[in-house]
Amino acid sequence: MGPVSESQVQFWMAKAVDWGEATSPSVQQDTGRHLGELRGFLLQVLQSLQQASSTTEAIRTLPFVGQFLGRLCWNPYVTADEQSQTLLLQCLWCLYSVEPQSAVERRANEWIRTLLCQLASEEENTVQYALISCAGLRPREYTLRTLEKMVSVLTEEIRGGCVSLTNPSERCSCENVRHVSVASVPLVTCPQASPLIGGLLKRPVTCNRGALCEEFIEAVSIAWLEKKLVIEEPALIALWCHSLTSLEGAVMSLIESVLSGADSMPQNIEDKVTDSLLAKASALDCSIFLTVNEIFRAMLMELDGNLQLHALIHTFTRCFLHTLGAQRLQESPSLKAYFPLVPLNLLTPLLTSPSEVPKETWQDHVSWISALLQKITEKKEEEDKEESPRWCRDVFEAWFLLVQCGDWVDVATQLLVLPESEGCLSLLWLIHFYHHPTNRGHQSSQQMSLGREVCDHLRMLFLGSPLPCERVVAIRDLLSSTLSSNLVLHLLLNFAIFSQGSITTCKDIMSKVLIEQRVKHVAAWAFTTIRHRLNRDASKDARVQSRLRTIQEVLGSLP
Amino acid sequence: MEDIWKNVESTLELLAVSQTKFVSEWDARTVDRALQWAQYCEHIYTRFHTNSVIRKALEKCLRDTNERLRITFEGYRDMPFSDTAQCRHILLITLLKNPATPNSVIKLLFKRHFEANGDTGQDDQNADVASLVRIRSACQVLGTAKFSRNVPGSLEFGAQVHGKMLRQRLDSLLSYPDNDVLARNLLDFVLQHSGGLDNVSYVIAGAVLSKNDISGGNVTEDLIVDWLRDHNDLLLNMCQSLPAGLLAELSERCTKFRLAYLEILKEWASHLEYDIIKELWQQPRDGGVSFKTLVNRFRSLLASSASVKADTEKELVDMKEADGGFEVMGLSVWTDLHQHSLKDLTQSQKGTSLT
Repeated sequence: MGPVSESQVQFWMAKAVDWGEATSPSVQQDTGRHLGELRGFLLQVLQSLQQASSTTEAIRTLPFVGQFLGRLCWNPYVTADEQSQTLLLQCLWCLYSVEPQSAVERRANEWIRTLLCQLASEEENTVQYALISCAGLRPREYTLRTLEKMVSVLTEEIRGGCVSLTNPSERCSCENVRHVSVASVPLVTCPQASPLIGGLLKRPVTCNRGALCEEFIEAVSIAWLEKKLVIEEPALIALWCHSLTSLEGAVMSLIESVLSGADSMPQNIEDKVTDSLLAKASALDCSIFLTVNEIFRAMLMELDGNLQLHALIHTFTRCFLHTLGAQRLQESPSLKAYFPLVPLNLLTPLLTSPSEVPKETWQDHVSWISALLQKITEKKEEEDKEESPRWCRDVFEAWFLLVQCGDWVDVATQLLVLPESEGCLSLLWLIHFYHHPTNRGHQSSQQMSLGREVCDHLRMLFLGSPLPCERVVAIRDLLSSTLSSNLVLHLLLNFAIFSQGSITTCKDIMSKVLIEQRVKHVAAWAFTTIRHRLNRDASKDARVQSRLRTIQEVLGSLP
Repeated sequence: MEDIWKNVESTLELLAVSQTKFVSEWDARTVDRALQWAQYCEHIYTRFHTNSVIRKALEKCLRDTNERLRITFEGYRDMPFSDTAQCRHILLITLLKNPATPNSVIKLLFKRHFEANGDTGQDDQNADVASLVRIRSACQVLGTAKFSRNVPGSLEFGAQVHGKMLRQRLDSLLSYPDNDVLARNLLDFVLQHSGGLDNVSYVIAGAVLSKNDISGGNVTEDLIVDWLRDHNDLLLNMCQSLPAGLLAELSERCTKFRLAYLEILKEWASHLEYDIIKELWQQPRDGGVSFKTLVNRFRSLLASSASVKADTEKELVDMKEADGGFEVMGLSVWTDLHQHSLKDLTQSQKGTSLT
């Protein structure tokens, strides 16, 4: 941050003078609009003051500073904002000299002491002064209670609806709601003001006078993203219904935290989804669910094949379905409303969790899903030869639903390992579709034969030693190609966990094929996801558990 | 107990010294000790303020010590019992105000008490002034959010909140036995230090109208009205300056107030004189209220609840009968008030009576 410029000084001095003590709604709104920038400027001033060797020097470089800080200290709208107030006080203390060397420094000290005294004590001969003096409480406690009372009175007042609806001739008080929202901008993070903030958000907008001010919505959204907001869930949902920007911000913040976090392990993703409250809000409000998924779709297009994003979407949908299931007893819209773009016959098998289906029938269930999806992708042939937009949309939506319900892809991969696997082609097709929905210019049949080839290699490799060298090389090559890497890795890990091959063979194969750093990294991540899913299963297989531990060790010990 | 008196006495001495030039010899350690003693006093207050026996003894101890210190230190400011609840804050302000306080001490005070610690801690171990300033600013900002219920003459937001706070304090005092005197002292203090009768009028109205959360009964309201009767200038000011609708609301809430209010209205009416030439009832030069104001106030009462309406009507009829029961205008003020007040009652029910 650079030194303070002349134009900045002029701008902010003029603002400080204009704002005065910020008593009118229009001045408050202007202050609210500039609060973020003001904090930035105060920080800049603070840094300049900290660089000065003495108060005399500080005043010489920033001659406006005394008047500027003094004015802001008298603006309760600024001092109610925690960050601004902290910066203001720090600036003042930079100007205080423990050993004043000149008359200027002595005067500055005196001024700061007086200012702080005035800030800390109540103006005499006012009702507040009289009440606080005989309250038998510490001033902070008394003021806190007063604030709580004010908040409760205002919260009660704004609860009433618009009178002009029932009586058009009467002037409604909705404008006051707007004023309260303007006044509440610096208080959004104040825990005592929380009922009022919530009340404002939850108030139905019945008349155009009663719209909450933009600065308020923005302040609440930012505070939520910075985890500084104390607010109840219905109020947060109301915020997201009020403001699309705020909802987008919340979704993007969740996506960013998952994609950027080195700690984005499955359990962490679940925690992040839960903390974001987005899944819960989605279950309560269908439009929120639709918006969140719209953003997910856009992100999937942008970040093709990103496993973390897939995991996030999958986890989000699982949490959403869980909440929805818990509140099913109450009245809520049908599932079709949440997934309007996919056929109902596909929705039912995919939204059923594997835990709800007996293990013996998993194979049939997956084949059923696979057949339904194949039917959708093949429709093209019946229609126009060129890819119709409608067909593209149908295929994309079907694939998106598969990503949302990724459990069945995992089940398919797991089933493929079993030697007695029937309908292997159908399983392979599903896995292939999941990893390569667009074919990326390859012929589907070519990819399918690749899948079969991978399975053959792995099956032979896991039969036991000595390892056929050419197959090891083949798998290693396939892993290094970004086109097939994810698919091959998932198959490899599932073979490692579920095949009958010995532990030694398993270790041997892993250390021979997992060479590249990138591949090793993705392998570790994919493994954790699989393990997390298996650990969710109540009936834990002892053999699988022991293999999971071994593979964990192998992956950890790879060079 | 002896020890407690001694300690409180020493703390008062310490606070007295903090107002003098001797404070220039204080350092970080002295300030810490002083703040600890101040906190001790706060603790004593919290522990014993509801125990009337110990409180009386403590008050006596404070009185004696204050007297002694007043003789010793020029310009000494007395420390009443309620102030011991905020000893640290008082010490802090005194040190900031005292030019003899060393700069190093001031810097220390800043570090401890002015640096933001967040609003989460209810404990307030450090007498967090930054947080106090912030919360007070929040109150000021919300106070500017003018939210009237669009009902003419309703209580203003600030007065409503102050009234609630005063009411809560009175309720809690009166929930212990033998505390009437304390409650009255409290009201006396508020009357003296609130900056004028008008301010107090609204706060008292707010206190009467504030919902009683703690206990049933009208103990607090009755005490307030009894106290008001002992402070006639304030009572008169209330009846004169508060809006008619608010006074009717007070009369509805509290029977004792209703009686006092009706008495004052009668008193004012009795002072009106009829000007035969202008054919008007004239307000005396030395106070009282106009005929029009009286009519408005009666109308408001008549538009109020059934019991208030019945009482007011009965009062008007009784006065009219006692005054001769005339039906002709201009002979008895009560005949005229009765007639005017009942006229257009429906209009006043809509809440048009503002004065």
